[in-house]
Amino acid sequence: MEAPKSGSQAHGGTVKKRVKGSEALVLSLLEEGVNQVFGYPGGSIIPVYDTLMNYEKELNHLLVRHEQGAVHAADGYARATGETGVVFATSGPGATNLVTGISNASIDSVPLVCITGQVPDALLGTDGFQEVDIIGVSAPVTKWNFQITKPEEIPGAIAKAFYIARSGRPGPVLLDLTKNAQAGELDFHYEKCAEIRSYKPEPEIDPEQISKAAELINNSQKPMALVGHGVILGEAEEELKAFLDKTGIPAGFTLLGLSAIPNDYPNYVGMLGMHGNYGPNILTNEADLLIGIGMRFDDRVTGKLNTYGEKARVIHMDIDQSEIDKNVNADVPVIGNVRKTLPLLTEEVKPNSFTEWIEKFRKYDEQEHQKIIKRQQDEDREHVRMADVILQLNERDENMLLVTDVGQHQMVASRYFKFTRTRSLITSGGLGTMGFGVPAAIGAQVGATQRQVVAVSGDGGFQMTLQELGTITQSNIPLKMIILNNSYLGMVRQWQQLFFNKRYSSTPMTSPNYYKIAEGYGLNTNRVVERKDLADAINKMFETPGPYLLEVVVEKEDNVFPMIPPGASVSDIMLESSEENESE
Amino acid sequence: MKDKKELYTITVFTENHPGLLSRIANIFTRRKLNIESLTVSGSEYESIHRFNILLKISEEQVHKIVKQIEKQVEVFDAFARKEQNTTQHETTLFQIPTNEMLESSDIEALIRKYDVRLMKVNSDQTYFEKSGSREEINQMFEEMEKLSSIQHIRSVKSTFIKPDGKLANIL
Repeated sequence: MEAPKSGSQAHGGTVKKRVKGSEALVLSLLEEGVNQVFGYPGGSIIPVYDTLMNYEKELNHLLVRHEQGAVHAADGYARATGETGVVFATSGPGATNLVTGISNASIDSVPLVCITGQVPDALLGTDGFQEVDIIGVSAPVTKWNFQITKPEEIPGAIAKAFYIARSGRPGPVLLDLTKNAQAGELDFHYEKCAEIRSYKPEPEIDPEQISKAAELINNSQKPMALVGHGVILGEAEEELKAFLDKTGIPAGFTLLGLSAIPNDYPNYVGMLGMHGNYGPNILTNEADLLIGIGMRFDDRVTGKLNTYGEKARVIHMDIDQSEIDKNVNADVPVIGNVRKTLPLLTEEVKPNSFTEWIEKFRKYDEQEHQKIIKRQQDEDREHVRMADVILQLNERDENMLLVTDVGQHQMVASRYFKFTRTRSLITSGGLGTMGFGVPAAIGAQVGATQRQVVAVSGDGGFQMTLQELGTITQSNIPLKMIILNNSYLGMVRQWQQLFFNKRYSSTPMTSPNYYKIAEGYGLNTNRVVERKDLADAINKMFETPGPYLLEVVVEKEDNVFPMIPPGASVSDIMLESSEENESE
Repeated sequence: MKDKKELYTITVFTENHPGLLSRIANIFTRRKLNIESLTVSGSEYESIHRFNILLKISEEQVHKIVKQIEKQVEVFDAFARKEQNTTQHETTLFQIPTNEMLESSDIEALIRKYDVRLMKVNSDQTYFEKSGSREEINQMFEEMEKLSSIQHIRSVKSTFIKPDGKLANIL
């Protein structure tokens, strides 16, 4: 069968073609510009997979080893490329295996279209084989979901799904496609969705809000910008730079806002939040104005809410109205896409500079450097620390895209990696999903073919999804993976040490022999134990073509500092634990 | 006094989309909010459905909840009104065993006192309808329950609220 090209005559509904539902699905995806899907077949989605064989050139399918891998890969792909990630899974367990990844995408606002097979219409509600009410299960973690039971519903539902996933505050959607809808026929024609009457993804910008915000900024002595994921999602990096250039305002970044501007940008003052930098956390409580830009005042950023920004008025710029006053009350909300609102604000604010104010941040940087960063880099030791590895990566490829898993290594990587271009950090922010790293990095590498993707994981998170090594081997994905192995669930152990009297309940963890695991999967591999061997091992990893797994044995009981203790105020951020303090 | 709980009616205008009821209910259950009464029906606007949700909630929380509801793709608009700012009108249907009806003149007196409408009688049960304020109906049931084994169903209706957001634009 000859497949129509994407954007063919079918577009606009001029030509109708009699096709099966499964083919209508594939044609609809092509109409949306999709050329990559991540998935795993099963009984209720066989018709779709059968059709895929006819479209292998137009639509590449990456076969994963577990559906969770597919959804994380699609998430990584979406974050690396700015496109919508697409996932296929079968009904029942295939569908429920997506739930963690959909939740992850939902809380981090990542556009995904997940398509699950479902038992035939006639079996719905009968507890049929592999039947799960995935519409009910996924409702709380999707932006929208819909069950398709008739073939003729397919093009319209796909069009709507992409429109919803991409527009406004992005998010995952799920379409549940019964087997009879896949097998039945329809007259296919496709029209992209441009509007849904009940849905206003981008609220109208209120010029009064902009003027009020400008006035607050113009009258502020100690303003501070808090930059989040919205800037990257909205592709507003240049608009942010223009705003910061004109106002001279120092900018702290949330975990997901990192890399929106380079770390050496003059206004960049570091990472916010629990393991962020010393200055921006302490000075949050000295600032007289906080300007949230595409961020949601997550509890990991704010610490204790009733002492957060205690001297500051608040401007909150976000596309999602429901974020306004959710955690932190805004004196002036600026609702809209920051790509559009930032230039309007930049136009109204007066040029300024805050040299002395920024100098304060730099002084705290110096303290943090002396107490933490310098200590992390001391030369006189054999063992490797996590920071050593990240600092080594900084000396390699400027174009590198870093993907992390969740835990201590994630915080160390985010703190020590020098970001030079946007979309250079992919990490699980809101959900903190261990096991995210390797599969997300697979998707990122598939999407960002011109960049070297490096997945940094801990030994715990790596073991949660290590089955995806099979995907990497089968599809020869040139991903570099580093396991920072401290033989513990390090972040939980750190909390146990600091807050639970060193009772290390269920955190010591044995790893398999990763060298043999890698060999078993046919991957190039190496293991580093001593610091002196690290640089060469990393060089070798980058010099070796194709995928590579590097295990680095790191200090067992190293802690990530600074740290805002859970429930404490941002300005109570600690540079070291009290016991380290006492030992001095 | 922002966290003081008061009775609010949340009115939501929506598309008729399967699964939306559960999405809206999830917004409440996730925050451990107990709904006192929920009605879903057609509205005075063609093809648009209306949810009326009555619950005790703080002012601060009700604003957050309304925004979360409005965020749903198929929701046009949502509004919250304090109960005292709406004209609540409630309808109840109730049944009393016919033999109890026949044996007690007190029940009959109550029926007259509260201006209750008789709907249907059979040998087992007698069916009534009563409309009025929530307080009046509560008072009636309180008195009635002392005299008979009454069973009832209640509905809540709030006043018409003029939509002023997305819905107003398409009407």
